[in-house]
Amino acid sequence: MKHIQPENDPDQIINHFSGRIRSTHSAADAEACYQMFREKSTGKKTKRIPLFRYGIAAAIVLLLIVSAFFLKNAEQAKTVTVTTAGYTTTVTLPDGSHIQLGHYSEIEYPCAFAKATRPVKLTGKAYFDVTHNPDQPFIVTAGEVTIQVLGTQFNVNAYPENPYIKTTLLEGSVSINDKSNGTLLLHPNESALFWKESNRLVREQATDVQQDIAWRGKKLIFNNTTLNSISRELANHFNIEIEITGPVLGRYRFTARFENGESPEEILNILQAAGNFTWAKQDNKFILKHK
Amino acid sequence: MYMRRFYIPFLIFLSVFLFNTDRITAGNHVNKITLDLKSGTLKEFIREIEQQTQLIFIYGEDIDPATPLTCVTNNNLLTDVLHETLSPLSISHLIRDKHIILNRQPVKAGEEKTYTVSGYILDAVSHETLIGAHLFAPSTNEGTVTNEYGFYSITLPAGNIKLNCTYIGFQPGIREIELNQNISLTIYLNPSNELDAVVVYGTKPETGIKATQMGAMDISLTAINNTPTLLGEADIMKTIQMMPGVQAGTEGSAGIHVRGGGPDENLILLDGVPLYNVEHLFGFFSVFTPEAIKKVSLFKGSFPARFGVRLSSVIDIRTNDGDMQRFHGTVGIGLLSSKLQLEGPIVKERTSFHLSARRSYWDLVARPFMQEDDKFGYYFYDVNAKINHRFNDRSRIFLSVYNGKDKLYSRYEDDYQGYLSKDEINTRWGNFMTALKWNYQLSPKLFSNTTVAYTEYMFTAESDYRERSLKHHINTEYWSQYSSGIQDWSYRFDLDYHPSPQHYIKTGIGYLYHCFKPEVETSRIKTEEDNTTTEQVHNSLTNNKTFGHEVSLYAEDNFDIGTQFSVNAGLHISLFNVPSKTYASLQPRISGRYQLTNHTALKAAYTKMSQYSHLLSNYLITMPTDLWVPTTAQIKPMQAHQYSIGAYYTRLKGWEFSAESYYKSMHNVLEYKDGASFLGSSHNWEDKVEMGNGRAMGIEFMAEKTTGKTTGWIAYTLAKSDRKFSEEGINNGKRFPYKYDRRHHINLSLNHKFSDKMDIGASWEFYTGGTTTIAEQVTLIPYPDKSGEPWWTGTQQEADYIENRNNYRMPESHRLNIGINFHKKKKYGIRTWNISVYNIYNAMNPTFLYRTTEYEGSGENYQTRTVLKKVSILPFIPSVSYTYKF
Repeated sequence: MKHIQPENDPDQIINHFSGRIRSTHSAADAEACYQMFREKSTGKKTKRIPLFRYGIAAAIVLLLIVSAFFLKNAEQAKTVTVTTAGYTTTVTLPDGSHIQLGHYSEIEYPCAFAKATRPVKLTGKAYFDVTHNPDQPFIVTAGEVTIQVLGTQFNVNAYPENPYIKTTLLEGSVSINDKSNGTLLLHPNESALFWKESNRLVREQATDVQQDIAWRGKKLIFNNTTLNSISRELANHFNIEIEITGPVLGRYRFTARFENGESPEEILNILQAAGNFTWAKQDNKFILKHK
Repeated sequence: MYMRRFYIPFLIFLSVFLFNTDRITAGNHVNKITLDLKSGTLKEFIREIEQQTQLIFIYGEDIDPATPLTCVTNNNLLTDVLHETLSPLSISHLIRDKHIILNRQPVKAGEEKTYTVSGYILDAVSHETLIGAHLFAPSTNEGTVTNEYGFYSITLPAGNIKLNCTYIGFQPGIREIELNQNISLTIYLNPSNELDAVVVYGTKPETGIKATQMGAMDISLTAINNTPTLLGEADIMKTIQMMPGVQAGTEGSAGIHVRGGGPDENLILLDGVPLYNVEHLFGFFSVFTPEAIKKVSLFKGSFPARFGVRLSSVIDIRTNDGDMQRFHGTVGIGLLSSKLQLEGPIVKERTSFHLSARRSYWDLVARPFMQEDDKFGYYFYDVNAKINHRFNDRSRIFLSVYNGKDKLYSRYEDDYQGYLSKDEINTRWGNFMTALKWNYQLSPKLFSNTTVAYTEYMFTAESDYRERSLKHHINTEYWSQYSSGIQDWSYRFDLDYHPSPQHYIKTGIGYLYHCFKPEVETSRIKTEEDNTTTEQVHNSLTNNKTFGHEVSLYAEDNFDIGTQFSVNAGLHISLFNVPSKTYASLQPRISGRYQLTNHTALKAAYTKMSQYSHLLSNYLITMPTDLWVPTTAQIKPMQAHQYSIGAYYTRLKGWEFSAESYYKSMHNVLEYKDGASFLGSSHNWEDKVEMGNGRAMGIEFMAEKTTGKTTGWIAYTLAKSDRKFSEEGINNGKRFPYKYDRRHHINLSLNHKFSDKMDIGASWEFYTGGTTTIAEQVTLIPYPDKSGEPWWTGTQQEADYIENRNNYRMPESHRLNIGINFHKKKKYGIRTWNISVYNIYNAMNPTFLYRTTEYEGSGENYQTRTVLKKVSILPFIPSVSYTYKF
């Protein structure tokens, strides 16, 4: 089980703690889940900043209240749902697999993998490090796509707003399946794109893997990427709305990296200086116009 | 909710902390850089700087990471390194916190300064202008091409500009200039001995594979001089006949039929002025002296908008202007004719002349062997003369004259017991053309040419018979003359406009005044007896001229859409007025070229042409007596719509492959009515012809090798051409094949240069037969009795019965010609011996077919048999000629 190491990154802890864990239904399972969480959160303590203790305490109190609430009402707790906001979090599954969940994403999994498979449901973005188990295939359902693996590392980008669902493989092998196109077997450094509108499943060789998993290090990497893709990425990352006016501007390409937790405003300011657009914020919506 | 409230102050704290670290990094802009990057790229430079400074570069697509750069620096300030490395690449930089933002140097659209380079591209040795030479600026990937006066104009952004200049047969030239104002630049290219594999750059030529136009090709002078021909006379028209889609009408003839069209549908321009009859000696030779020629272009698919008035093809022939540097010439002696060519400066760099003349001399050779009082003979001659003067770089004037005549004469004198008689017959025909041109450069982007020209074709037959009786003092003179012809006075004003490298606009206006003199017959009988003179003059019925006015207006633009697509769109408007009628015609011309890959291109074109004059002819070969007549109220102008597509491939070095396919529909084409013949009289010609429709289609393949020691081409044409007239008309409205409908045509032309001392040329041609009309049956026609005698019941006569026109397909023809040149350097120049053989394996090719009856046996076994006979007129003919160039 992976423990959070607060001295490494205070930010991560905040993200971690603010992850709302809703344990539902069965009392026994809920108990187990709570135990799990408690272990996670109290395993190591931060010494430097006393504020943390209050934070942790508050979180525990909050969780106890929430759990108690659920314990009272729930009858059967079969699945765990983890949802994130503007931060990433790492979830450890009962089989020891780790899932790093991206911003504004959600993952749902059973409290115990009792059956023949290990089913997981993803909305948004996640990085999977799956423990090898050939007898119990690990199956991710992300929108229209199912990804089946035995044990491997891969990234799935399945925000509902995206025009596609992208699976990028780093190690091992995965098979991608959608209802209409059949199965696609990926090799490392390849990705599979399922285009929602045309209902097509396409293999992309020589994918820029670093760009796809940059979010794990809280980075945004754009390598000759269209403004359309960038704005989609920013919208998902910051849970904001971005609108690009005109058909041409969105095709303009940028090369950029943001590694220091810049705000969407800062990012847009920098891109604006390098590109040919101006931006303004109207009713919580970012509007990009041709210069 | 609780959670949020809890960590907000914490976040504030953290962000203050982070902000501070940011500040610290920002302070690191005093970073020192050490770099050793020789001939690297911007991408490598960025990677290095990012590693050394922890700063991140941000840029848009305007910055190309592959941009080459060099940066060698030792422990220098980041800002200085960035400035020194990036500003020469027109890249600006801005450091903002942890990012370096790159931008194209701010140049606002309308503010970018451009200047025009214009001038001429010349042969460095003779200072002769080069037509169709390419000019290319690699920095902007833009190019242009010189026009028919060697002028170019290209507008480029200010700065250091490199210009590559190429022309086939010349060494490439490179000029580097600092462009900060409009520049007038004359570029000189040195001739190269070999046809090197020159990389031809540039866009917008009018001919060749790179052109937007289709079915447009240059006929190289090397090909003209090395294609072996009849009696070793290098002949432009016969080399053109070796191109796919072009054929000689009849074996050995210099006349051409292009893509199923007639012999009168070709516009043959000498320095932009039409010639109406380009044949000598009944069509076996053409009128052009190769020594006088600079450039020959053939258009058969899509036509530039400035050309009009003919349906099938345009052959644009440009003559030499004359060497501005040095005086030199050529002397040639052949079996048929001898020639002399001279050129040189009159005032160096200002005025020069070019003169070429040739004459056939069988008559001169034969004269000593003829009787003193009975002489006859035939000769032809051509004279091309041109003089030009350069007032300055912007203004130049040309005066050119061509005169070519054929003459057939006989003279007979008799003295019979005091009766002296003298009989002289002179038949002359030929062209006279003169043109005055003035080039004036209105601005660096705008070039103008004004032409005033006169051209005529005349045929005259004169007979003079005098009788003198010494005893009775009676002098009688019978004189008669027949003449026919056409005379044109013309004025043209043409503009070439180069607004930007993406556009090449040509526009102009022309006015032509035609005088058709179909037949003028005059005869005079003069008698002098005892000091009294009686004189009678007779004029023929058809002694009337017809005048025609023709106004034409055109505009075309050759422009690029993106880097792969170019379009030539033009419109030719013409008005033709004959006394009873005015015709107007709107002729759109459009062709497009798409560069599929670096070596593959596709083209498509549509073109409409109109023709206002017709050639009346009734012989197998074009004859000097053929008459040019205008469109009338009854006979409408001919029209053609041609659609073509083509594919081109140039991957193999030195080779060009092309496939072009066309469909042409023709309207108002003329044919003689069944049974009618024109036979030298144009009287009521309108009643003897019928208007109908024609169509022609085909596909032409060509593989050409343009560079190296061995050059040449192989071409295959699959074609079909037919005609259809009204139900009551010719052939009862049934479609019938055209006279020169030849299904297959193969041309092979090969030149090989062994050394400077020897080269060899070979040409082989194979074509399936054209058609001819041969009666298949004989019918008896009864003639009723008109004599009034009761015992006479009338007669019956056999007559040919012909069911279909052009019902018989002639046998195929094939022929191999070979010529060898031996060159040797002499004290004052180069001498060349040429030995050539026409029809080396003596193929008996049909010139025409006729039906005849043969008689066999005798007595009871006597039989008649109808047979077809084939007439071949050009067997194995060897020849030798000598040329001396000084």
